[in-house]
Amino acid sequence: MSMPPHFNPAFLGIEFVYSAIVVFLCIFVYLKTKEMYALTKYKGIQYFRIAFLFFGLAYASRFIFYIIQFSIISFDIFVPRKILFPASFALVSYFSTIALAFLVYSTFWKRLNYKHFLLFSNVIALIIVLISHLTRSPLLVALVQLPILGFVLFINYRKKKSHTKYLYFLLSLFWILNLVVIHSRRLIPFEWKIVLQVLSIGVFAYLTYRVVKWVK
Amino acid sequence: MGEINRKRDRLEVIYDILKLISDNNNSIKPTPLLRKSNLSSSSFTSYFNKLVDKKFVKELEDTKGRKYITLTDKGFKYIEKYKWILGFIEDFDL
Repeated sequence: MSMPPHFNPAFLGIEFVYSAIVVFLCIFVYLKTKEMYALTKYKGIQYFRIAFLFFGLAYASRFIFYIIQFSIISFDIFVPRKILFPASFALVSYFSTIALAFLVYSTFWKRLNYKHFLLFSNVIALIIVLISHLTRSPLLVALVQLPILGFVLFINYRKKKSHTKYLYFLLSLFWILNLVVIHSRRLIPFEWKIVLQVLSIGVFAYLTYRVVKWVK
Repeated sequence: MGEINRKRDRLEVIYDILKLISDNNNSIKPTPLLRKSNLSSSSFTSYFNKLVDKKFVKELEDTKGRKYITLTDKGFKYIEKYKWILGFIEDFDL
């Protein structure tokens, strides 16, 4: 295995630490709210938990996708690219779409209460997986997911009193920016990525803090 | 009344029933519980059966065959956590 001159192991290390923190916080939120859901069987809590479980999976699969992308570019080793690259990207697309869809639905299920939302969200996610498979472009997936972000903005704008107005918007926005970053790894300066990662962790940490406040 | 209120009410009704039992030294007969719960008979039966199924309450019989309702540990836990649960739902717009 030869290492190219431009390879910096710190990039991979930082990406690993970032992904590990976010995944940990998502799984922490999911597990911390388990008892609350077990006691109430309240649908809103269920959707909220699903959203965070899938955010965790999305960030984990994003890291796997990053490693595969990185190993193809940076190392002279055999990687079954034709299988791993689309497979990991399909997972990123699927998990993140489900996460975003359930995050949005958790705040307005009471008004809509659509019985087939699980089916609906899966159909949307599979369409996005198909798009990701055909284009292999994280940027395009980010663009396709953009309407979900617009929807978050729209429903929060309509709510006069919302405690999650900015939080859910930032959560969705940072995910989409994360996709843009893995698409344009070489175009975006390292410092900007660090800022994005720190802000992203900040949003997840704040959200986790708010959850912990209620589930002590 | 939309689904939002019905759901919110469901949590409240459960809390009220459990609190009534707890405030009655954790032992109350079904008829006074029905009366104090301010629910219709059919509605009370539906809630009560669900509470028994989900092991929030249990029915006991004394030596004379009289039925009493008591809370289980899960029932006490629900009362203890109720305000936190409502706070959480409110805080995250769920």
